Amino acid sequence: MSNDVGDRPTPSDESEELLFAQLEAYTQALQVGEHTTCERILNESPEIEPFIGCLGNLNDFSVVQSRSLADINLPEYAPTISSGSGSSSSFGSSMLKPNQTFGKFEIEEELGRGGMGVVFRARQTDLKRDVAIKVIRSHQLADDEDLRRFQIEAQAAARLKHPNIVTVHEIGEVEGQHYFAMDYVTGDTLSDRLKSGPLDIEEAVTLLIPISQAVHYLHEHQVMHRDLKPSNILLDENGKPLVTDFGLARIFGNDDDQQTQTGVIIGTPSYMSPEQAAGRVKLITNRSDIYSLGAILYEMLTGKPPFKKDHPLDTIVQVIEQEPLLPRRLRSGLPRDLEKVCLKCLEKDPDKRYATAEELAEDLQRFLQGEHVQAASPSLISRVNRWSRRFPAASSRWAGVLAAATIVQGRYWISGVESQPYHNEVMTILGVWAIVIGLFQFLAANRTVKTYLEYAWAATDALLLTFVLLKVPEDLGPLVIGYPMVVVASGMFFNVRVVVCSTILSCLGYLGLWRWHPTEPYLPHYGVIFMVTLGILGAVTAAQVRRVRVLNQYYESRQ
Amino acid sequence: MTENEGSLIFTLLNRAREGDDHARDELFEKCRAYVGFMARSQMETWMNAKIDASDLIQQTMMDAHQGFDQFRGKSEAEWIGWLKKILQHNTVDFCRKYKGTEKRNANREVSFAQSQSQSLFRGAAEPDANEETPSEVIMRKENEILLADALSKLPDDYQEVIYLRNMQQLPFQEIADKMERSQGAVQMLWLRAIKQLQEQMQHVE
Repeated sequence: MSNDVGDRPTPSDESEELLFAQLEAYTQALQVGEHTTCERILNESPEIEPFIGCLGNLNDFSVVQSRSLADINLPEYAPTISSGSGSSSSFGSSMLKPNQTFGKFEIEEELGRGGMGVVFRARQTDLKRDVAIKVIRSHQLADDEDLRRFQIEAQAAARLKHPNIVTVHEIGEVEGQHYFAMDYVTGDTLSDRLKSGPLDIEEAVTLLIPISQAVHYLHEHQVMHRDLKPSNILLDENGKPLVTDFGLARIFGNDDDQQTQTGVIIGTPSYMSPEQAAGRVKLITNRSDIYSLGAILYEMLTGKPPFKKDHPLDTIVQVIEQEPLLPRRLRSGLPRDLEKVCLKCLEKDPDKRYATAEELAEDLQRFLQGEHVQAASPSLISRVNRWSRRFPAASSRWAGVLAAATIVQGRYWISGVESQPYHNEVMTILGVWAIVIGLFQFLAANRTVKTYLEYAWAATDALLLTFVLLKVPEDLGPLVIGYPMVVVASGMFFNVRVVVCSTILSCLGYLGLWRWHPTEPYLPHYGVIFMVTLGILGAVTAAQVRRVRVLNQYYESRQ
Repeated sequence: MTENEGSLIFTLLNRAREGDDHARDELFEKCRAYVGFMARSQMETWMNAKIDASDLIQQTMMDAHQGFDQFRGKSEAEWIGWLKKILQHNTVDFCRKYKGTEKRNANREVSFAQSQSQSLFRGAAEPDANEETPSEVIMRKENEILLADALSKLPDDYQEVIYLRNMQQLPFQEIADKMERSQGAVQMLWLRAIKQLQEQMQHVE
């Protein structure tokens, strides 16, 4: 590295040129951390000896600066949030550099950064093998208690050996930095693999069987993974899946009781079970890992995780409340049996999932062999339940319209002729309303029109309600309760402006009744009271919605 | 030589702790350049832009001054560690202000702020001096603070070239672009700067 100096211009006389070359060579060696080269240069050209103190110290400024930078970089949680894989940081420096010696390891390259540390490929000098070492960020082990837990859990993990888990060889400490050394696996993560879209059905199933077996092995040894996701599944050169980072989530705050302490939700909640997402720590069991396996299967089959919104809190809300779209909707031709297996893993109620990961593996095996899977078709009630969770906006409105239609029809049958003049018209409008709801739901699935859709939907509700009421010539009495219902229903879009829009339109609709309906309002001040109440109700609903949005932003900023 | 230099800060530190205001002022005066280079280095690497770090330096020196009574360490290493902690804490605030509008980075900073405030909280009472790098073990050491101080007394372009080559670790070609001179000229400049810095260090005390 010193021999390319000859053709450089200036340095005026030869001794200066030589000195420059020596100092520059020394500086370069220093900066890449080649201490043996440094010593060699110093031996060869002892005249630079007076300078090495300065150079060494100046270099320390830089090393010091990059180490504090490494601290800044790390909370990015690169593998889970940004790109979904352990790509190396976009920021230059890292705390350990290639060729640096770290205990009995020689650092070769940085592989990636995660919530709890940086992973390096390294050469273990005593055993002459390549390993991956994960160096834990110091602040992750806040005190002696944390350190003790880390050691206990990591040692437990180190005792586990299974062909489909990444073996942890040892845990140690070098100059205050804790690390553990694992098998070095060449190859991508499942998350990298999924970037190019969903897998073949058979490939997905063949991949998940050994993963499930590995998870079952962990469970048998009282280790819960708690953070299963595609980026934690490595694929070696032969495509064999290997589960990594097991048993560590709890120590490093991926656990929910930790989350409340630190206020940080680590990673994407897309693969989290509802009980984890809701922070119900006591309910987290092995079956939570089974949920995550189901989420991975879902993504392998459809190309995306069951729930994924732009904001983490939205995702959490979905994980807790909503049902995923049926995999067969996203991928036609998907065998029904496989969908059943997948949905059984994704049941909200842990008791309805597979009891063990082994059962899941067996069912997948059955599927591969063309036998019937044990996952039963859901009962009618649970199907309706699921369906209404999947489309809450449409199902709540349909329920309302259906109830109204039932009452109108019932009255018609009982008292007959009296209501005949307007019965047909009212029923027609209700029918149209039901169809419009279906239409809106269909459009809502198409994301491009979504924003305006919510306004249009809320407006249509108010409008159709007004039409129905105008067709009723009698005293409306309590029927105007429809307006408050429309306002509250608009709150389900979680958009303050939609609520405001719906409130205003409901008031206008009521004014329309006031103008055109023969008996409404019964007394003028009743009408005023009703509209004021409607306004207040809209304000309260909007306030609730805003609260949810603020919470969402808070979570987002913590991310 | 190293011993003497080391003992200068050490002596000042001890005298300042015993209530010698003059020593305290001198201690802070000596450390100012050190904080300055660290601040600039941190900010610029992080923000990837040239930034005037003087507010950050000012704030850090003020915090250190005000909190001096709470510093319990005895050794120089602890003193340096303590200064670094305060600086890091302030850097977060400054970067947040600076980049408040850039969402992605702002997010990153919040997490950082948390982790840092935790470590600051824990570390305030007993700074961990255990931050030596392996490279420091085999190097003959000058005193960091005094080196920074000596560096700050060099002409501006000398400071700049050393900063870019040794702290930012840029190749000469890039340094030449940044300083708008030829590569040969910046190489020459660097050599003179290093020579003068080394002479300065010999004259210290």
